[in-house]
Amino acid sequence: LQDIIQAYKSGITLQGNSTSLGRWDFSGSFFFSISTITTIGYGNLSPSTAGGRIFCIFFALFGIPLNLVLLNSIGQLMLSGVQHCAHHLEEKFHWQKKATLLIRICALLTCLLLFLLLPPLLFSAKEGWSYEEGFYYSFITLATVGFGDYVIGMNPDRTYPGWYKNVVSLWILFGMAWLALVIKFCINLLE
Amino acid sequence: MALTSQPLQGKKRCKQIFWAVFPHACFILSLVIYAFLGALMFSHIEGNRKVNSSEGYRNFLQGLWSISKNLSDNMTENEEVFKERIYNLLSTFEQEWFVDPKKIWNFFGSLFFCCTVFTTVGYGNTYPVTRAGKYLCMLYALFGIPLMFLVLTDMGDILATVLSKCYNEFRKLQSKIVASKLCSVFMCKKGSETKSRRSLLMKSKVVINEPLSIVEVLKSQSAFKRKPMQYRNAEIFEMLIAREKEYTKLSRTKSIERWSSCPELERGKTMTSVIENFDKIGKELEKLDVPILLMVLVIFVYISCAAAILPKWETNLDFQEAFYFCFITLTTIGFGDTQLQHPRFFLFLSLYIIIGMEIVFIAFKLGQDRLIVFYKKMISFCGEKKITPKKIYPK
Repeated sequence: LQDIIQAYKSGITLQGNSTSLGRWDFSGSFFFSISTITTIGYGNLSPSTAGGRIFCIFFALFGIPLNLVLLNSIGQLMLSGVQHCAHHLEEKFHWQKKATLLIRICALLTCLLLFLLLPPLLFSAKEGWSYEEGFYYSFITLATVGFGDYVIGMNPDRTYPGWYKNVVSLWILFGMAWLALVIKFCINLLE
Repeated sequence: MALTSQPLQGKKRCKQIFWAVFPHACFILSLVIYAFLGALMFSHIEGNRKVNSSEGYRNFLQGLWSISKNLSDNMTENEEVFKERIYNLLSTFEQEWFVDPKKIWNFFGSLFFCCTVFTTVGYGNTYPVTRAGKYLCMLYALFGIPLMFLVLTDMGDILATVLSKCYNEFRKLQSKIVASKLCSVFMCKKGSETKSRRSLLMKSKVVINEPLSIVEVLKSQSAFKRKPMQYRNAEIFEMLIAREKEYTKLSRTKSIERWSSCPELERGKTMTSVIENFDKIGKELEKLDVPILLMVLVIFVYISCAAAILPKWETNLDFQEAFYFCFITLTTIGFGDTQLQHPRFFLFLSLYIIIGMEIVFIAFKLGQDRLIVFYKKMISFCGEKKITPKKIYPK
């Protein structure tokens, strides 16, 4: 019995009754590719065959710059959207130039709400985590640290609706773009 | 006077070198201090966690005991029943029960954990479990990741200059060899023709812009060599706009330069040059232009070096697994599926890891630029295809 526990400790996991995100079917592999390209790297699923690992290396080599390009363009899109809104509101209400700062802060706060403060509610509803755990998970995911202690969709006792994974992937994408934009702004401010 | 001026000059040089190295050393030192501070805090918070035997663990042990109690004498029947029950029981396993916090969260363990946080690798073999630990982890990441990013960009400049210098030297050597081989009369004439054409381009660029330094022109030359003629105009415009932006930034710092032209404020000059160096962070990285295959080759060679050394003390990793582990670490993906036996020795390789992340970072930046160029070509190609059918019937 001790041998079994020893083997489990050294990281061998049981294959079997896991959720669709814990198996190598399409959605599980899709989630794995996303976690690789965004360099989050949860580790709940990782290739163990030699061929899989070699493919993973080349996949990451091409995928990570692609992801960076996408994040940059999404960030630019969001920025231009905010500036358009600011322009429109200025023209309509004839506010002064200082209003742009206000609008920027407003946009920042809404994005903060949307990407960091609201998703934990979703996670606590679907995963059964507390709000703190959901917030911790959101932060660690968006910062691309990705420990893997909390991963969505890994609980075999719960059923997840069809739109859940897609919504979470979209959130990861836009949230990371927004965070990269914020960091760029902060660095510009420091200069 | 000659005797006294020499030690003075030596002192001056020492000072210059010191002030040139100071900003870079500053960043690295602050990162190291940050890591050590974090290690202390985490080892205090997580190491002193009270381990109470949780209910889940007690149920697990009871389940084990009841299984072993209910084994009958028939051997084959035992195996089936045992397998099924153990399978069901083991799926309730949680790693937390077998972890001793004092052992894992000692100073070096916490240091390793802090490094995985601010490099965003995030293996996940150790992670904070207490509430205070989690909040501290988030705060730590919030400040640590930009700091790490700053260090990376700063050292990336040095690496980028080294790389581009090596590459330019190599290309000069290559062109010299090619020129010496093909020096017949006709080829020399052709060479002078292309040279005059290129110098015309250079001159036209200089006429439009303000005078550039020779180094900048050479660098832009190597950028132009490979792109086809049609896109040169667009490229020139983009470079013009980029240079204008640079000059507006320079004019901001010019006001500092003016008052430091006085010889008495010589010390002020060094300070302004130090301050200017802070502004230049990341500019070398943007100017880098080496072929991406070269970068990929450099990455592979670099990782192979580590993959050859690593199995010496990690006995359960062979070359292929060590290569995979180093790659996953350097790209900051960090699955955590490969467990290290001696994380301490891996920490000693921290300089190697930083340089490796640099190289990967530069390669990804280059890949980004190439991708954008590729997309532009594709889009203009598709655009041209749409225009040409209209031109068939001109009025």
